[in-house]
Amino acid sequence: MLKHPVQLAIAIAFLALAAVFAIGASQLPSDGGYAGVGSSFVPWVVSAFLAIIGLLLAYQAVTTGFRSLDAGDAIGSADRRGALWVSAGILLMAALITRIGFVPGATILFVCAARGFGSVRPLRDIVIGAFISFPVFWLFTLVLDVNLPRLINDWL
Amino acid sequence: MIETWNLLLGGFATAIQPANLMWAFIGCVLGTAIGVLPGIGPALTVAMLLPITAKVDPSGALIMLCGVYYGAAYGGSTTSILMNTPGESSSIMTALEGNTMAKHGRAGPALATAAIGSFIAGTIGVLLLTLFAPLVADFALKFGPAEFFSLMVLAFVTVSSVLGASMVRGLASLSLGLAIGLVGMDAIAGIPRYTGNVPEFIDGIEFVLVAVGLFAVGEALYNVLFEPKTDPGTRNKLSSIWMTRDDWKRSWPAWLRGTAIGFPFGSVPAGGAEIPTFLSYSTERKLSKHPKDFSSEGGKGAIEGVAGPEAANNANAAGALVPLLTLGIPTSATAAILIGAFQNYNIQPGPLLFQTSGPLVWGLIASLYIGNLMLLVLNLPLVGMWARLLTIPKPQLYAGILVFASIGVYGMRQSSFDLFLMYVIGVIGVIMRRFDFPVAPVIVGMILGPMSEKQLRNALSISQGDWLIFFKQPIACTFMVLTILVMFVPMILRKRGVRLSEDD
Amino acid sequence: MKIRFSVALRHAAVAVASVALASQGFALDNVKFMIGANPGGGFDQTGRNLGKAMVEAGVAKSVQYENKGGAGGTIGLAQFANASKGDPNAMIVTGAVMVGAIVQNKPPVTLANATPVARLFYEYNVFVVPANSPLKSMKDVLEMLKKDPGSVKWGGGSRGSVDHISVAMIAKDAGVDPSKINYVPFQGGGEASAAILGGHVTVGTSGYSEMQQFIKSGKMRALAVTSGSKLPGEPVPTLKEQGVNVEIGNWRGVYGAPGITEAQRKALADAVVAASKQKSWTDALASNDWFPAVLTGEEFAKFVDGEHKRIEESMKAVGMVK
Repeated sequence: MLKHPVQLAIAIAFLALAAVFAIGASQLPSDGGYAGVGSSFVPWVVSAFLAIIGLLLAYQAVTTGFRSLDAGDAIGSADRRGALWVSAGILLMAALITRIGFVPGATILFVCAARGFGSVRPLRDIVIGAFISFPVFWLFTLVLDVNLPRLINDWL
Repeated sequence: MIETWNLLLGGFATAIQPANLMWAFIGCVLGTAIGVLPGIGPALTVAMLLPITAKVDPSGALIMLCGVYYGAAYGGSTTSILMNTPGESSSIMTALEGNTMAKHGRAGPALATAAIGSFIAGTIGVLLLTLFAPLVADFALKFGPAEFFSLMVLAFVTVSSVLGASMVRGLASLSLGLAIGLVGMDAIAGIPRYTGNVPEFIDGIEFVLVAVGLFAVGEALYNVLFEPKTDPGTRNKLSSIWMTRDDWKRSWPAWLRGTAIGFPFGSVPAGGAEIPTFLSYSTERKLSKHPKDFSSEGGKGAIEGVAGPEAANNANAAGALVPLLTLGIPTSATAAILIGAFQNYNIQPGPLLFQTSGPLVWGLIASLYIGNLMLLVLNLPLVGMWARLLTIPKPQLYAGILVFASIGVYGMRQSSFDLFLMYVIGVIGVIMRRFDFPVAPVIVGMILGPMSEKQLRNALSISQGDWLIFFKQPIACTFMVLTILVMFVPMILRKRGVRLSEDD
Repeated sequence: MKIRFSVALRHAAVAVASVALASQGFALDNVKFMIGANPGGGFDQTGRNLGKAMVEAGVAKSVQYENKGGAGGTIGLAQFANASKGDPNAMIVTGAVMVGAIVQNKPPVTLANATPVARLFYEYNVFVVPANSPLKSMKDVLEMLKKDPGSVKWGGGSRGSVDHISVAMIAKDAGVDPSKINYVPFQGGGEASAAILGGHVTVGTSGYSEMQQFIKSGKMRALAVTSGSKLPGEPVPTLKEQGVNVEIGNWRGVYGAPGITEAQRKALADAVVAASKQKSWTDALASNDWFPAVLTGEEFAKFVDGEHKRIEESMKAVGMVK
């Protein structure tokens, strides 16, 4: 029946967010001392703002759809496999960086992301990835004394 | 006046000593490098270089640290324009038009206008610093919470210019930013809000993280999902490296306006570098004769939208030195650490500084002129090289952007939690892009929201709950009247049949 | 598997190396400082100056710093307690600010999860008014406060800071309900001094070293310091000398990792004491107006317990914790 189910879902997400913020605001102390406005004042304002936006979006979604939007709801042509590679790269780096060190982590991200964008030469990508992350690693650890996770010692 | 001139000449004599020139150069190079890298800001770099004060004489060390401070303001624009990865909050506005220009093969002119604009704004800023520092400092002290809040209201209203094609979706993005901004410790009462008992959230969500997530990660994911893999895009077609005559004509006034906006806001004690860039962008957007070029209108990127905010950013950096040198008041994290550097030499920046360490300060000011010139000479030849980076094939280019984004986010506080958060925000960015929600207002809301709440509550505390304080104090009232004019004048003009260019 | 093995190997190598180095005469090998604040602040300066002094004193081979700012240092504390269990070379900088944050936010990891090593110094606050203020002494301020508590706008650091607590204690001593004070918190000393200079608040308070230059140049008038007796070489009267029975300081010290042995704890304390005698450390004390107050061992542990109770009481008095 609905012409724009995803758009309606976005509108509902805004309304849900408004509800979450309203619940949160109701639990905050409203006492503001001499100012008269306390910790909960701005959260209430933001919650109301979110709710109004949610209603407006919902209205647009059930009538003609979001105004001046070309893309519509089409998700069909998406390259999900590519997106999976890119996502895997970021998540792997996030999960592994403290264990395998900074340079290998960044290299994994580089290789996975390049694969997602259609690169077919993973070995070359490994070299480039390491080539990019090494100087940065050295700059952080040796020059700036920032503690990045390392695999072996100060150099890796 | 003559006296100032003589003192400045004396300063130049100090600054052009070969050793000091070398320190200025090292500072500029290092500053540019860390400005280019997202995640390590000038504050961190200056802090890490502080130990050098134990070994080098005061003039040399301070000249170098100021070079870092200045250079970072220059370099910050590069990653914004090339990779859509703003490394500092003050270069977020630059990413809007700059990256759009880069995608249409005009990275060169965007980088050039940023570099030249930075030079001009920086130089004018230092000139104003030389001539009027004490006067500006006295004026800046008139800014209290009420004045800041009124200024932020003005910023909120003018921000409508970044809202994009649909008002509702633009405001939706803004509300999302305000909501994200509420996460963390309430700055006034110290109560944690919306942290869900996650300790990483207690300090709030870093806006560079959200900017990188929405801009860089969101774009990479969107691109891999929806754009054809083989299409080289217009990105690779470098139409021109250099600025055209038209680019110059459009950049000049934007540089000057940006400087005029940036310098005074740098000198007020709680300004932050972002607000002048917002105001400058809005100004350029409103005054531009080419509104169709702006990215929010689906254009190819408007050069004045890069020139203005970059000039504002650098003039702001010069302005921030006014309260630093004359009052000993830091207006940014970097300035606070610079004060630490002075103190390591038992020099206290502040009202007595010009009497107690005159030659040093004048040498420092003179070195700022030289540093500005050095940065221009350093950066202009790099423009071609940077722009050519974009001819890298798409897989490696986007993979590289993601690596840089992750390095920046991880480098901020070495937390892998932040990397996961960056990914989640990137996914939200994809949805927003798909349904044409502009992403810039999210950042604007995140930055302005908490600042304005803090000032509002402090102002009301000072007035003991009297909301009219914003109209009772002259400076605050001026901003409020300006806000009302900005809101209603276009409406009245429209009613009378006068059409503004952007409504055509 | 391979990766885990290499990590284990690394630990083994470090252990061997540290044994070898220890025999070369360094009491501590590579000391790791956790600093629960961003670079540049008071915690950071304390850690970096102490580390420098430890190397100079020859009690540590090298020093490494990790900054993890936020939530009064408790985020850094949580990471410290988890990541450096049993590490005899790890230390974290702590102080009244961190105790305040623990009392206020009740984080899962507290100072009870680390080992007390030593208190280092105190820093005292000063109360100031802009030069053109009609208020001449603390007595004038108190009269105004008693007449209309809301009319005295106190400017200082964040809520729950030593600045805030000292104001609450003054109000209480003067017989004014501490929850009725009009306290305006600013972030960072710079914003607070600007608000005081600009006359946006009635009275301001901050660390003496931050305000000193404004007092010396005549832009601000100092009304009182929070120390027990006058600061050396400064004419500013104390609160007690003006009939206000309040004495409060902002102390800083260091803690060691959880799970270290008594001997390792003593080694850390000895190293810190040795460092505190170095010239670079005494110079840092002098230039920052820090007042040495070294206290180690069980006495330091008892002192922190006492601070916990005292700060909790003050926060209850102003209604910041229930």
